[in-house]
Amino acid sequence: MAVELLMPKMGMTMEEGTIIKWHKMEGDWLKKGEIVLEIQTDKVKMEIESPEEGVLLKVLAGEGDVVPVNKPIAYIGEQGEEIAIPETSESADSEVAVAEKADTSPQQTAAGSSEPGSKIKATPAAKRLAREKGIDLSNIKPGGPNGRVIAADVESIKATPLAQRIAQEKNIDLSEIKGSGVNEKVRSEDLEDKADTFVEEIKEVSVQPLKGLRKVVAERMSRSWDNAPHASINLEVDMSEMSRFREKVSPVMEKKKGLKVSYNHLLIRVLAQALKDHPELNARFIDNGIEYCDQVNIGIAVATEDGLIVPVLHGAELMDVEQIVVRADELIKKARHGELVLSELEGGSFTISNLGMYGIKSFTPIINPPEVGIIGAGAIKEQPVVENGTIVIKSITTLSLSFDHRAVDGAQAALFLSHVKELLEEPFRLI
Amino acid sequence: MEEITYGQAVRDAMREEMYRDENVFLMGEDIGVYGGAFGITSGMLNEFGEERVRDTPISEAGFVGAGVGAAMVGMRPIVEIMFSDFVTMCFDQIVNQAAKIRYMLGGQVSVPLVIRTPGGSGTGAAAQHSQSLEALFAHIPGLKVVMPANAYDAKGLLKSAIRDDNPVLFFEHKLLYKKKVSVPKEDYTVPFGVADIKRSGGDVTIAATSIMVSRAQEAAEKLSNEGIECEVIDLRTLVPFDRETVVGSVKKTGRLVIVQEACKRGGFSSEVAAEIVESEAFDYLDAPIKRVAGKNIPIPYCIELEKAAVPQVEDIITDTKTVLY
Repeated sequence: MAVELLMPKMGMTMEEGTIIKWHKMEGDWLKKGEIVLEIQTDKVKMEIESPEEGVLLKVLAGEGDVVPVNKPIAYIGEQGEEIAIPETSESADSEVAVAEKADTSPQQTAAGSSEPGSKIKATPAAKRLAREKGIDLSNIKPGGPNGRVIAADVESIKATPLAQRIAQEKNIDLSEIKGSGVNEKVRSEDLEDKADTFVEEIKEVSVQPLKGLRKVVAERMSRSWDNAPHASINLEVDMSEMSRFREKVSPVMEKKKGLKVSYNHLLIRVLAQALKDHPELNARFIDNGIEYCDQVNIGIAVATEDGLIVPVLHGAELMDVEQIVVRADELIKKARHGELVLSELEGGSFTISNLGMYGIKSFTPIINPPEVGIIGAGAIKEQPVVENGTIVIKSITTLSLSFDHRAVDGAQAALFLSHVKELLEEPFRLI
Repeated sequence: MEEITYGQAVRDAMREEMYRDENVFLMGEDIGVYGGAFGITSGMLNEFGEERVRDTPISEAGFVGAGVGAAMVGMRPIVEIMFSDFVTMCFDQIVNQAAKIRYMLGGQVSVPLVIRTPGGSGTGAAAQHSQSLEALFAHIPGLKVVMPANAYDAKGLLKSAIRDDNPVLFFEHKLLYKKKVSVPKEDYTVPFGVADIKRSGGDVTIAATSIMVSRAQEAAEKLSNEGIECEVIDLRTLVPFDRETVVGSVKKTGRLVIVQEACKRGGFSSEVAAEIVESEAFDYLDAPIKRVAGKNIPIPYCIELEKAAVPQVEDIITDTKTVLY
């Protein structure tokens, strides 16, 4: 009995997964526990192991395909075993393959091909290449014996993807067209004479399909923006004291741990305290209400080559500065190298996003659902400030707090942010 | 290194193993006083004595059976069957006894028996002394089947066979006995299940066994003059079969020709073809798989007809070209 290999649900928020790479092909023998494919969940890349020993009988989704969780992506069973695939989308293809002797079997012809007796003969290699290049075999002039299309015939087709599509639509034999492109590559212009009905100008636009982390970020941000009524408040903070504190503590830490202390680390430390004092901001807006979190779990927004990723520093309220520095740096490093495990991405209760290093003054961060608040840190800049009637120079930064107005009111948010300001301006209060 | 004949390599392997392990001994027809029908055991009676080089009556079933029994109680017999055609006399002992005993007794005993026997045509010995019967045994679970194509492999594979705890059918080739290649003096073995790529090429894979390996190499030389680069693979052992090497080569070349001396119907080349069609190499095939094999007839006595009955270099060239279009 063939078993289904399902798209796994790897976390509460995972609704679908993208297939990154198949490590095994149909027909391959699988040992139990052997890696079959790699998927991208809404958070991480994962390798999926074979649940059974057997033959990979059928692959239902290709690389790049997005499959909802708990839907079958492949079947594993014994060699030659029949499998019943519930959806009908695959059956059209397999019937084409079955219609081998089209001219002697009218029934199969009707199912497999629109033109009776027109079954295309091609070697397995030619079929594979055509599949890979997205070329319609019926447009290729067979170069092998018995009217068989061989790999070289497919390889000799040099045409832009657009030209290939037009040729397919207009039923033009590309091998008869002399191309005007580089290396005689056939371009869409070359087909205009042949396809006289083709008047519409199609410009080739490069559309990058949403996939992987980009797709995940896009979906989560839309969901947050659509569902959570965002309100944002800004507050200027004098960082002079914190700056002095950092100058003193950073060399000590560097000597002890080889790590530098950044404003981000200190901000996390301050937030851990402030969130403990203001539990209404340390919460998650879930289906049936608001979950106030026991721990302070601070997500740190990290920009990676693939996109935004938010590792979570768990239990920040119990950590001293040294522990925060060590753990935060570890998480950021892992995020950049794609080494985070699922547990390091889940359970956040508040998020911090820092664009200060780009010189940004202030911005409106989008809440990382289902959390209810996010703080955005801007650049620290020396500014003239009026104090007791005189102008003095101070290191000023702007903090921006976005909060989910369903869970938090403006006054609560303002109190929280001013508490953060207080702790940053007078670090001794942390003791 | 020293150039020695295939026959000498077989003898050296047996001698060295007999010095290495006192349980190794020889049995067969005319292997003692006469030195073997092809002279392979020449001198070994004097060297090792009658206890370890035993002439037998003309009763293949009897002495192969004795070999199975000796193997079961801890000896390592090497049994010579004068012509491989005569294995048909002892089918029960090989197929029902040697191949099955270890399995049926739950591994309590093993059968470390080597059956050495020369096969193949080319000596004008007619239909009962010229067959290539390896496929019969490749079909039987519990047997290993080895077909060395040169002196180096003959020595290394025979040593592996003697040291193996399971029954091994070791098919030598009459026409190869006089062929020389360089063979190291020091002890070495050639592992089972590892094919040997004799020549690299990107246009077509030619997999061959026994004497057909050198014919395939000669064909490849000639095809190379026409700009066709063949990859020639010596399978060396049929069981175990080195699927990986052939699959890898076919994925590279997209074309497969399999050459065997045995008649085509039910031959091992069909098994290789089926393995490839079932493998991931299928999607890389750009031409039908071609079997170049003996005709489905008894080997004729007439020397010209005998030649025509089995693949020659020219046949390999012609048939290889049919898949190169």
